[in-house]
Amino acid sequence: MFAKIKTKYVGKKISSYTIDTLIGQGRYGICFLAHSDDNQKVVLKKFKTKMFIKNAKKNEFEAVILSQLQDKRIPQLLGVINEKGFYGFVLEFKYGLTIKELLFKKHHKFSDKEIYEIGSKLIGIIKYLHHNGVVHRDIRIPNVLYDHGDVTLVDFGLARWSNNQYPFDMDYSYLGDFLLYLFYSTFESTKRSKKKPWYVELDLTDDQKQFLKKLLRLEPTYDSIDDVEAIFLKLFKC
Amino acid sequence: MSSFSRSSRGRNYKSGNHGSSHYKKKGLFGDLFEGFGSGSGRRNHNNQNVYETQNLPRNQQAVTNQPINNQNTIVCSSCNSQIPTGSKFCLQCGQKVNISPFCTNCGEKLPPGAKFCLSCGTKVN
Repeated sequence: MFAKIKTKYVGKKISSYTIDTLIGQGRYGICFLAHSDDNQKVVLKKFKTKMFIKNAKKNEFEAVILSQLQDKRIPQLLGVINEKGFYGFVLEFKYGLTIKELLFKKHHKFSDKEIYEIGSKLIGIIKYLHHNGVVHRDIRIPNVLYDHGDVTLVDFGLARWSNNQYPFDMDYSYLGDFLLYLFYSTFESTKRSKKKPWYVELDLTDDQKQFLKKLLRLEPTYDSIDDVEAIFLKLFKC
Repeated sequence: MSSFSRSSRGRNYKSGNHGSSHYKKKGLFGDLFEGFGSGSGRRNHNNQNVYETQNLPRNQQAVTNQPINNQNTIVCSSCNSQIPTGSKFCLQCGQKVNISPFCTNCGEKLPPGAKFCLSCGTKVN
């Protein structure tokens, strides 16, 4: 499948961009790395026609939300392309490897210091989003980039303006799950530990466990991202 | 981009009871969704937590920057399509929309929240 898409698109010129490589694909479309005529790297997010028509109204959210946000820690919306059967967004290219790549391709083990650095920076991004009324809803290891200390959050395909249907604590839950991936990078599993939950397996303090339980809603969660930030900085500082 | 809303069924939260068997693995689909990411196949954890139906936190009522639903949409000058309020681009033809405010008297660009034009002093509506 990847090979077929590569053959079809790589090297092809779409609007004023030339496609260099396929970055990835999902249910809703395909992402390409491309460059503009003035050699600026961009990401082209091409929507699958069927999915785009089916979700036409919902697709607006990503464009409108990215249009309203202006921060170096999230990609900017640079344009919309609709030509020759190619419908997609032009997004700012961000450097770095995803946390998923670092964990499962590079087998990187995150130190407590790195977890603190990544966690605090990611919370800073969530804080910016929440203060602007946006809930991301997809804070997962393939959507967080890490590059020499810089953290970037990408893929706003599921982002929404927060309301009763899309409360901010959705992001707390994903943040808790995200942090657990980092903690497990140094965990050596044995056959006997397979069925145990994280709060039994991981060597964390009681306060740290309670913090994560609150994020994951095993206990009443936090009122705001400011509270999450304050507690995280206090409990995980090395 | 999700094809349907799961929040009403309480599925927009991660399960809080996983262990190493979950976090030491890539996931069912491996690299399939990597890099693009809506990843709906793997995000659909049905949370069984006790506090799922608790009252919403206080900040969930305070939402800023959200375009008003019934606000007039802009019509694209290039293709006449309706542009959703707040979008920097026409979602049909890609035409850039100028969303920065400017003085209607002298055309000077206005800083956010300005009540008067800094150039000619005209009151901003």
